[in-house]
Formats: sequence, structure tokens, C-alpha cells
Amino acid sequence: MVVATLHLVDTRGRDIELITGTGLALRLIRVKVHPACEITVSGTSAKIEALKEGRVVWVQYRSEADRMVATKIATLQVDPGRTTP
Amino acid sequence: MSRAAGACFVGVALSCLVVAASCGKAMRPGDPLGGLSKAQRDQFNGGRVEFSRVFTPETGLGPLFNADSCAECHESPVAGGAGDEVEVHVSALIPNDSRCDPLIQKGGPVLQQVVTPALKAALGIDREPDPPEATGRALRTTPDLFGFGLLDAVPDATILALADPDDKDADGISGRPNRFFDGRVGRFGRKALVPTLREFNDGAFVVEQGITNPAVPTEESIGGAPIPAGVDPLPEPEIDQKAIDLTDAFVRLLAAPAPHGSSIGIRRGRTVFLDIGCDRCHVPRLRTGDSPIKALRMKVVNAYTDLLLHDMGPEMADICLGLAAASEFRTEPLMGLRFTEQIEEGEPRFLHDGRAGSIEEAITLHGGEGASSRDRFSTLSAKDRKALIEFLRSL
Repeated sequence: MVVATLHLVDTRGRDIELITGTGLALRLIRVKVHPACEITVSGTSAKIEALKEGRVVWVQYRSEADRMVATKIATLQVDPGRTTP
Repeated sequence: MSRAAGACFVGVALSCLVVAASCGKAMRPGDPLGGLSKAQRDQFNGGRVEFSRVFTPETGLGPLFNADSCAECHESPVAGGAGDEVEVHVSALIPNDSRCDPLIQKGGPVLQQVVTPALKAALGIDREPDPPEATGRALRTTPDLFGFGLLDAVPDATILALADPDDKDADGISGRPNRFFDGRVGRFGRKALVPTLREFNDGAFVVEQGITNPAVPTEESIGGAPIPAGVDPLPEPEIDQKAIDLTDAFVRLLAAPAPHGSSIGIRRGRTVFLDIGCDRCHVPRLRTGDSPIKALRMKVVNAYTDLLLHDMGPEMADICLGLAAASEFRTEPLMGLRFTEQIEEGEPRFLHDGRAGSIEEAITLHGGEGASSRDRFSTLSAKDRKALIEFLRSL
């Protein structure tokens, strides 16, 4: 599981790229979005097209060969009044 | 004991208590926090050795780096202090969007300014190239790290309680928190992107020295391209968990600098500081929350920051980062400001990018949310200006 910011959403290739990292050592990770992946945007079931770059997402994934494959994606509301999303 | 002698003894004992409470042992720069256990002091001392450890390409340095040890930059007046080194950060504001791209795919946001001989031989470069996609390029000076463990222990709730993103109190000050890419509240770095000291330290090993570690086991790219084969032969991670734990302990347990002096000028300067509203962002005192380390738990730190982002005006703008716009910067902690002025190598440089050569110039360069205090500073009498600078030099 990873919580990160969507950097890129490739709807045609069904890939997403996430910004993550430690301190200022930032990294991009690419995740394949499986056709059966459950996607939730603002609490509602959605398609990959509804994922918008810049949103913070929670991604559950499994490792498959040399890649990560998302099985669940949910957008998170980053509320200035909360300490964690 | 006679009643008179008893009264005298009580009086002396009370005087001692008062002196101990108000003065305590004078902390010197680079001292550990008071009240550490022996094990913590041992960690601190071991960490200072790691902090000062000089890496070479053979021990993992690079292939891209800014310095060969933590203490090469954080050096004045002792390890953990300020430095004259200035580094380069970049990012890009995406057109027609409010999003900020930290240009990871192009080697950002930190561009290393030195390369190992092997990388130079392989690619013929002297530093990481500036990506043409960057819409902003920033210089970043080296702050002292004294008291950063205390800043780390300030609860998120305290930072959020100080925020006023919509300026509901209409005082012209509208601080807001930055957020890391997973949504957590940030506080470290000039753009307050990084949520914890631990993460800042773990990441700094890689972005500043090219030293991979268990928390960050991969090297930085070279402008987005992978490292040529054979250039960085040491297997990852290049330091072990113990080394990074010790380094973190050293930084975390560095005592906050005790404000020194109590002259009439300093006392007057403190009043002026409050009168012209500097304290609206440079909040004098923060309180730490719970911590597994007793010396960090429920302590008052004279930080002179709110750890929030403030708009400093277009003249100050450089890069966006996370939620921070190009003109937004975290309120710089003023604790330890005197160490920047007393830097042993090079000229003193103030503000995030070192553009100010003196404290007075730094004040006059404040814009945006700092403009009101700057303007009030400009109307002060010469005596009050002098007092304010004297106070700031005491921090």
C-alpha cells in the first residue's frame, strides 16, 4: 500500500505515475491499473478517467513480474484541518 | 541551627533555585539537549562522528553530490551549525494548472553541483544539468540545525492551529501548512515540504552526498537518466541502519541555542519585535508534544517560527514545491540567527537564498505578508532599529 500524489494518469495505457519519496529524495513510481482495479473518487466508484493528476491517492497493489499492479485506488481528501489524510 | 541561620540557609537555597531555574548551565553551540540518558548521550556523540564522516567515491560518495560530509556544510561554529554553501533547487509550475512538478523525471528538485571523477569521465559533466522544463530555479543557503529535534516534536495540531489560510482575522497574515505528497503536514525545508526530521535526514544523505541508505536505497538520477554502468560500483545501501540512526540522533538531540544577553537594548528590541508584528509569523515560542525522548517531551522552544508557509511577495519568488507557490516560504526559525551572522567562512548570507548580506537588509527585503512589518521597521527611530537588530543577534 502506498499513499502518494498522482503525477501522471495514462488512461489509454492504464498506467499511473505517483510522486513519493523520503525528504527531498523524491521518486516516481509507475503502477499498472488492472482492469479489475477498484477505483473510488471522493467515495464514489469511478473509472480511471476520473483520476486527476495532483490528487492524493491511496493505492493497494501487488507485485507482478517487475511491475506493480494496482488492485484498489481511492482518492483522499487532504483537509487543512486534519493532521493525516 | 538558629532561626537566623535557618532563614539565611533558606534564602541562599532559594537564590540557588532561582539562579538554576532562570540560567541553568549555559549551552554552547553543538551541545546536546539537557537531561539525556547516558545511552542517548552516547548516541549523540557517535552521531557527531557520523555527521562529520567524510565520504569518498570509494565509500559511496556521489556520483552526484553537493558535499562530502554533513559537516562540510553544517560547520559553523561547530558541526550542526550554519554554512556558506548554497545549493540549487528547481521545479516547474504546470501551465493552466495550479500543480507543481518537482521535476523528478529530470533530476529535481535538488540539482547536485559536484560530480565524481568517474561520472565526469563517463559523461563529461561538472554538475547535474539544469532541466529546460524548469520554470523556477532557487538558491538555498545552509541553516544551522540547532534545536531541530524540538521543532520535529511540535505537534501537527499546533501548526494547524496557527494557520489562517483565508486570513479570517484580517490582519494581512494568512499562513498555511505545506503538505508532503502523501498529504501529511510538512515542516522541514525552506518550503516546509518534509513532515519529519527523520525523513529529511534520510533523504539528505542521498540528495546531498549521494549516499544511499536503508530508507532511500536508490541513487538520484542524472537529469532523469540512469547512472552509467561502473560509475558507482559500491552496492546499495552505501551506509547501514546504525550509521543513519546515529546521524539522526545527533541532529535530533542538538540543543536549541539559548538566547544570550539581557541588555537594555536586547529587551527593548524584543518589545520592538512584538510592536511591529514580526511575531505574527516568527512566533517566539512553540511547545513540543509527546515524545519517546524525555528531553524533547513537553518542552518550550524559542523557535521564532510558526512552521507555516507565507506569501513573501513576487520579488522573493523562486520555485513552487508541493502546495507552496513560488512566492510562499516557511517562516524561517530565528533561533540561532546569530550563527548565520558569525559564519567562519565566507560572507554572512540571510534569507532562504542568501540574497541579504545583513539582518537589516533581510528585514527590508520582506514583501507580501511581511510587508507591513517591513514598513513599520522602516519608520522606526535609529535607536529602535538598533535595538531590534541587537535582539535578533541575541537569538
